[in-house]
Amino acid sequence: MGAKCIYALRMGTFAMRVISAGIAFSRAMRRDALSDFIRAGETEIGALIDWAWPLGALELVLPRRFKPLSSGIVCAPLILALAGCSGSVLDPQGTIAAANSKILLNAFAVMLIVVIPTIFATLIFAWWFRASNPKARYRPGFVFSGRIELVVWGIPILIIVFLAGMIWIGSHDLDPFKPIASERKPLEVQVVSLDWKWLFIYPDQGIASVNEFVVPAGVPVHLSLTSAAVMNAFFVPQLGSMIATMYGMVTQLNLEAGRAGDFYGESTQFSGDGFSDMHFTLRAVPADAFETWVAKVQEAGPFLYRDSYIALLHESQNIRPFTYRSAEPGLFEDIVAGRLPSGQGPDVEGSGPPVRPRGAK
Amino acid sequence: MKILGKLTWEAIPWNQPIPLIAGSAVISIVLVVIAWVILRGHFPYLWREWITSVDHKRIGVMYVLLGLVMLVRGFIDAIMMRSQQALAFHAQGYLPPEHYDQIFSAHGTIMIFFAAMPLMIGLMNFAVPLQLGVRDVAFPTLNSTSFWLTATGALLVNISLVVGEFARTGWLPYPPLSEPRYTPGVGVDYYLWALLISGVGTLMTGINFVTTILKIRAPGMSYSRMPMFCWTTLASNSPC
Repeated sequence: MGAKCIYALRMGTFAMRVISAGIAFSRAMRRDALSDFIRAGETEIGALIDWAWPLGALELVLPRRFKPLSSGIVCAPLILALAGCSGSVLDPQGTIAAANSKILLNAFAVMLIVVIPTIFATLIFAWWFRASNPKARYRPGFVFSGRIELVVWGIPILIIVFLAGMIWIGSHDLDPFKPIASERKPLEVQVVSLDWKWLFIYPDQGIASVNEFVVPAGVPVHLSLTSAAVMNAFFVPQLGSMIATMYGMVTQLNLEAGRAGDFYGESTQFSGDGFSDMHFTLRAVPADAFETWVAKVQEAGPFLYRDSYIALLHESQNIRPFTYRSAEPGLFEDIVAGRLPSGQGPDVEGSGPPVRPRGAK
Repeated sequence: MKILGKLTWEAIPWNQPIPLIAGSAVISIVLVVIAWVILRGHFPYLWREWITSVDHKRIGVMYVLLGLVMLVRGFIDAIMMRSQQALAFHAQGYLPPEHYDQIFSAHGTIMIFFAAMPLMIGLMNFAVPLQLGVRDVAFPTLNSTSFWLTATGALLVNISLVVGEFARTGWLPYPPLSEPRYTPGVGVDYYLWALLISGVGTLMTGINFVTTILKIRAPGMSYSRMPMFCWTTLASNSPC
């Protein structure tokens, strides 16, 4: 941790300030929930780094023997900043996400068993075998040591076996298809990825929504997912477990939001021109507020039936969230079975230079 | 107006300044280099000693040069992507999605298949025969063919800058996104042809290295004495 590190820290702080200012500006320009959400995360990191860099400056004035101490003080908030990054998998807000991030951190810790001694051994070896050390023996004829082989092969093998076991058990425990054990009856939701928006159908409530996903907090949610066009992947980082959506196929996912709040959801499989706007807000609300929301949705808004679904199917980008007061029963099953048309792709006119492969539309 | 077969002048993106300026810059640089080579009388030397050379060291050097040139191209793509991401936060940015998606697909394809792989294969071409103590690889002419197939693939990716478009489907074009229905246009064709042409080259390079290492090592160069890099080459070029 020398002057270079302090310099990097200052540059980092500066960059963070610039980003925060940019976000504040864009927020002023166009206010919506997502920018607030991202801003919350950014300010958290920004504040911690602001707090860290004066401590970094301490390093310049402190005597040499205190330097490791101040380095530690500088590093700790940075690590905290990364761990506290809201909206990420490291800030889980549900049972599945908590288990996911536990596996992630455990695997990380187990790998550090190899990584940290290796880093120290590298430094110690470089220092010990320096030219001026008369005690370090130069042994050009050295070929084989059973003990060293045992250590460098044995420990990694043990770690791989351990990691494999952990991941095997974790994968089966967290199988997306496996229902969450809970006293409360899970909420059924059918999810359809369209070009380029998410359609959420609530079969039991007979309603649907686009790019807005409202669930009761503390109640398991059982999702059946498919795609009406290209492949996508459904992911709410703070609730855990990502799963692909494919045309003509149903995948399942069980999630539970531990607390009420807005969670960022997105597609994590590149799906074409509108991909970057293909995100939604998962709003977890208290159970009674969910009933109120359902009642409110049922009162107003358009109907989702065959024709309006086909209208929705056309490619569109950056759709503002809206709801359907009523969804035709069996729509999801018809989409999966191919009884409804799939996404038609772009209109050929105005989609790139007019050089077409033979046989294309 | 037609240029060739179904190819019309409309295939050139006259209305998009970025590829047009980039394309004309590349074309001018290439023309200047070619003019310099011919006017200074270097062409016979270049043709005899480099372009038609079957010397593994020269082919290795040409692979590395190709890799470095494509690394620059991929780097420019990366800069464009990052600047777009910085500028497009709740704003339009300077690239429309269909252009950004081409850059992002070309960046992945170029960096893996036309920068990383030529750099690795170039090093292997240069070092492996020297380490094994043999005069050249097992099939020197095939080695030259492989290189020029790879260079052709790279050229095809760059042609897509000014004629038609490149794939907009990411560097792993998953169906159904890569099907003509969801991605009409010639982009995916460019991707497939560039990869298949250079892929034939890489496949033959693999056959060449494996044969060289297994069959024509210098006398006394047993497997246990073979340098680690030759083992690396053998392992990474073997189909299994």
